[in-house]
Amino acid sequence: MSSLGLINANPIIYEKQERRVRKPSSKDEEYTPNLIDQEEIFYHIRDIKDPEHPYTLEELKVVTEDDIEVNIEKNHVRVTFTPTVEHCSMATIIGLCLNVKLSKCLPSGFKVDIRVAPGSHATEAALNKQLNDKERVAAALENPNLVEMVDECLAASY
Amino acid sequence: MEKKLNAWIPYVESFVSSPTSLNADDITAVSKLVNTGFLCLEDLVKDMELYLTSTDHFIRNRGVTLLAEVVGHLQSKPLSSTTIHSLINYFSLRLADWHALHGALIGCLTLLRRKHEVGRVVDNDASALADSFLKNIQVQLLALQDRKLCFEILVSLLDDYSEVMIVLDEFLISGICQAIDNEKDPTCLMLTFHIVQSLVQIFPDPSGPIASAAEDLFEILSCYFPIYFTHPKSDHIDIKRDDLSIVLMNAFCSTPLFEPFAVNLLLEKLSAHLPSSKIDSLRYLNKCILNYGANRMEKYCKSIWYSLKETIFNYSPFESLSESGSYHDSQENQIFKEASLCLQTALTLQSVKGKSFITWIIEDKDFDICVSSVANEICYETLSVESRRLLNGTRTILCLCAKAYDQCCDRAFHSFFPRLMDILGIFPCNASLDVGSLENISSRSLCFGALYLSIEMLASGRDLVLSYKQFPESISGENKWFQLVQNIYSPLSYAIGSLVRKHGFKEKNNITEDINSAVKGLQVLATFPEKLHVSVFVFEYILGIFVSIITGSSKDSDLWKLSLKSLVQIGLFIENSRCPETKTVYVSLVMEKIISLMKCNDSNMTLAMKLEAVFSIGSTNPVYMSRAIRDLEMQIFGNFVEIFVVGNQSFDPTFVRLLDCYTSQVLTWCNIKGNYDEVAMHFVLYIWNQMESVSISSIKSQQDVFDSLIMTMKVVVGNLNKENQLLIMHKGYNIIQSRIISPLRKLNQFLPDNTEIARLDLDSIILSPYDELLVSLFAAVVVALQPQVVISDIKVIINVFSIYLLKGHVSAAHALGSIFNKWPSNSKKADEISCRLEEAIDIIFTKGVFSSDIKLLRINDDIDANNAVHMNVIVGLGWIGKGLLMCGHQKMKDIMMVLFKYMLTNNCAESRLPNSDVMGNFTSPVLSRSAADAFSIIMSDSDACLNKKFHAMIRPLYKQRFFSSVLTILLSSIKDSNISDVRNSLYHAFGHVISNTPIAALLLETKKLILPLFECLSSLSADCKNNDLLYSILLVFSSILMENTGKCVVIENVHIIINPLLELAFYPYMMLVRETAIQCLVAMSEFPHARIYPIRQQVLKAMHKALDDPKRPVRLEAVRCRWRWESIA
Repeated sequence: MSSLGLINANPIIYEKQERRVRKPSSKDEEYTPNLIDQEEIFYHIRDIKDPEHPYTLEELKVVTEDDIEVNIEKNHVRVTFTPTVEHCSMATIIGLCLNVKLSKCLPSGFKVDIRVAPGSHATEAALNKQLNDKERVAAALENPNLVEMVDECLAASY
Repeated sequence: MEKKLNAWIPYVESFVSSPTSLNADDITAVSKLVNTGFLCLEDLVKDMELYLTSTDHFIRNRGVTLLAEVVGHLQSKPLSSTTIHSLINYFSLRLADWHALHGALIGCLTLLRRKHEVGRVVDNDASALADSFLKNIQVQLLALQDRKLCFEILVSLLDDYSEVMIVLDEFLISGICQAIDNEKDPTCLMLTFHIVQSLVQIFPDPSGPIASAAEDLFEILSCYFPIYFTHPKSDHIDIKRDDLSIVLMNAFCSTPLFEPFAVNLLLEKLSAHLPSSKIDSLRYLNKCILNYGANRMEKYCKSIWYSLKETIFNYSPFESLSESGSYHDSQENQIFKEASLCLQTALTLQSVKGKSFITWIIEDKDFDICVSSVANEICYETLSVESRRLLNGTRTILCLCAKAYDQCCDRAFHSFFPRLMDILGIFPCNASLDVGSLENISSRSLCFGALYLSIEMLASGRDLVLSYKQFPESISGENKWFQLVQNIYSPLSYAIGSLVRKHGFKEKNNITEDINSAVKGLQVLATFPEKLHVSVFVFEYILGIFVSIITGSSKDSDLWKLSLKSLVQIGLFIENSRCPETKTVYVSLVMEKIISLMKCNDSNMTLAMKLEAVFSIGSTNPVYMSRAIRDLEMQIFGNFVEIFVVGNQSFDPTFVRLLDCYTSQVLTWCNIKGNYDEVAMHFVLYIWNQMESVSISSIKSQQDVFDSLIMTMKVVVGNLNKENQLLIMHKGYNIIQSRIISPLRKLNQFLPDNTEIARLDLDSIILSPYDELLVSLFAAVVVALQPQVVISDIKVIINVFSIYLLKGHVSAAHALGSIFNKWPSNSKKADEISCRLEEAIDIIFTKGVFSSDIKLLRINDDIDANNAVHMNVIVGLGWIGKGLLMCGHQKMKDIMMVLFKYMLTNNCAESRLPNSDVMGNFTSPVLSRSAADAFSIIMSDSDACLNKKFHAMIRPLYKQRFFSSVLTILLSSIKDSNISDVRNSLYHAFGHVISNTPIAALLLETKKLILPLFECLSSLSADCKNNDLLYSILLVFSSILMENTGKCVVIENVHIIINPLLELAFYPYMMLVRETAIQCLVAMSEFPHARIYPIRQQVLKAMHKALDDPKRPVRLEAVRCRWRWESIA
């Protein structure tokens, strides 16, 4: 964050995916559980705001529904996100946002794995390691500036 | 007196010395004194001299403002011309004093706005004012408020003193130009645009002063086009972009002198990419074409045509071809719509010497090529989006040309139609050729594009001809477009006909666009005005095709529907035409055939199709409709006999469908045509006659047949007039008298006046199926009667219904409820029936089954049977109670008390007579629960009876009244009861009452309600059968949360209600309950911090658990809720 200008000053904006409308549940469906799936995870993260633009991660195609993997038996979710530019220093913040948001949305016991899409970032390996290191995440969340930034990005997604 | 005279001085002093801009109280006080005559305006001015002439700018300004505001309050007080003269002169002169300008502007404006009757400013003074205004004021240097006042003064001067303003000539024009230049505020702009419009209108001379200033004026206006409006909503400006745009448009079109500058600008902006700019340009252009006139617009015709063509081609809708009017209101479609409207206006341009607009279209080679290429498209379904746009655009342009006016239509047809026919391979020929050979000639497939375009053109041409009130002779003359149509009429009809016929035999079930067009084509060809000498053979041929599709074995339901719709359209057209020949053909070919479908059984059409066909075609002609109705009645009556007399169950579905058709189609139609009573009486009398003559041994049919018949009877009788209702009631009563009452009397079971029915041996009364049907039908009649219709021998009837009620017939309960609800209130009517309401209630209350002393109700020793009878009694009480409540009768209270006894007696029974005694047993929890459910009958709306359709007497706010009368008793009973079953029942009743009471009434009692409401929720949540009630009570809570008064009460009790609410968030039997409970928690997170902070941890813990809910919507709500509560830290 050494430079004052924006890291990606002119990102491409994509159209939002149409929201699926909920069908009214019939009596038979009352007791059929809806398992957690890609769509639900995507619902949680699509409206997270980009740290430097007034657009959502969905609009910038940082996350898509196809980049989410859910394994119900193992209680495991993996989200692979694609930063808009390779040298994006905001990728850590985005990853942190995803991590925080999902850990608040999923039942306890779910493991969340956040990754950068292969080849989409200059320091991919380091970033992946950093994002999934519990202690580093916890440490980051003790930094009031970072917390404020994350909260701002997440506020729109509720 | 002296005191009074000076009473105003403090107000003036306070106003003048106050630094705030307005001090409304002081102004009102002073103007009140002047208005009532205590203070003379001249005196006020004289005494205020010090302030008005003070050298202190501030005091002078306040003084002038006060005077102006006071004058403003005297708009309805007549003032002498001298006063007005001196005031306006004073204010006009003050315009030069910029320190006191605000007050002077207000003064000028209020004086200018005075009405003629109370004395207004004379012309000379207005002229002097205008002069001073133009000389002294630099509008754009002033603050917003003053600018607005200035513009309002200019508007008043231009609108009301236009004669005087003309004299000022160029001085005025240049002054105004200076004043309005660079204005940016939307409210002021609304005024400035209006000023320009008024200004150019007072100088209409094309060589007058405006001519030289037009360019300057337009330059000022053109900066604003297209309106770019970005004011956020929070600005509280109630002006929208559209308002501004319309006012600016009016200014643009106000004079033809703007033409040299405006049209080019509009065409330039039309080519811009911004959609709103395009829409505005098209709108403005449309209006300018109308206002500037054909001669001025002539030179732009070519460029207008090219711009419009491009816009129409680029923005034509491509989703679907049918129903051009039903597009979504997207910006793209709006552009297309405006472009079409503009082209429509442009087509009317016919200048005296030059080319008319249509010429440009015809001479446009590109368009010509485009028509050819589009016409050669073979199939719509495979077209790309661009080609579809092109097709739709071409269609729009051709149709507008054909629809514009006679010559235009003529030229369009001559230029394009023969080519379309060539592509279709249709050549003019003699109509006398036989059908077979013609169909053979044209049996190859038709080119979709040409077919579609030619049919759309024909439809537009036909619409043009039909729009003439008087048929112009010129159309049928030589060399007209109609000649063209006449020549190809027969071959085209046969070609399209064979296409449709072939499709009718196909197995596949999807209808393609070419068939859609073909069906429309046949319809258009059949509805050409008969004056154009359309061949009757072809007409017969077209009708034949449609009828064969409808009666034949067509498997394509869409084609079937389309054909029927077309036949109806043709029928309506024929009905309005004056040609007897086509009428005869239609009647013999269509009407007779379709109407006779009802009678024939061997057709391969389903009953639903037959009914739809018969009543759709019937609706085009009253005579045939009557025939169709008669046929339908015959069918219904035949089925009635089969089902109820013969006992043939196989007729059930048909009967239900026929009755459904009867109520939905026939009765609605008769209501519109005005012969309802005649038709309906025939129906009801038939049923009564049957009931009188037949004997029914058993009814095997399903309940729905029965219900359907009863409902039809209710609807039919409900809409009859009083006299006929009375006849029907009498007839029914006579049958009841002979078939039911007399046998009962003979059995010695039935002594209406002095026997307690409770002592009857119910088991000895055996009801035959016939009796059940008869009493249900009679109950249906009673339910539907108007209050004015008096029921004969009412006491006996009440007894009959009571017996049936005890036997478990709910329809009898409906009838009883209805009887009590509509009991005549005035004494004259009451005399007629020789029985007062109280007396009638006594019959059933003290002597009869519904005795308030429950102990009397013991009927036999079989506990189950006993309970069943009691439950019937409770249902009856519910309906009677509802009837009485709706009409506002006091006796309702007694019924309520009986229901309470049922709910509470368990209490006494258990405490006094544990388990063993028979007396104790009958008040089982089952009865207690059904008494609670009776409150649901009382409070909820019903379709079966006691509603507006069946003429119930409904006192306003009856639900509120019941709620307030029952609430105290319910709450105290709940408090006193200590047996769980009883409490449960009471909570049930409480739930039914509050979930049906309007929220406004609940809000008044929230304090009392809130805790019981949650106890009720907790009690109900124990059983999964209570889902719906539980949910509706929770909804009541959520609406309480939404209202401010309710919210306050909830805040006070938040620590108590939080536990039950959190429990509901895990209610296992219904997702909606969990979701709503969490939504309530979300709403509660907005409560004051101090109140909710203590429970925060508890909520967060619960929401964390709720994230594991099996249902997604609940989880999503839980996420939201968790976040809300986390962020209140």
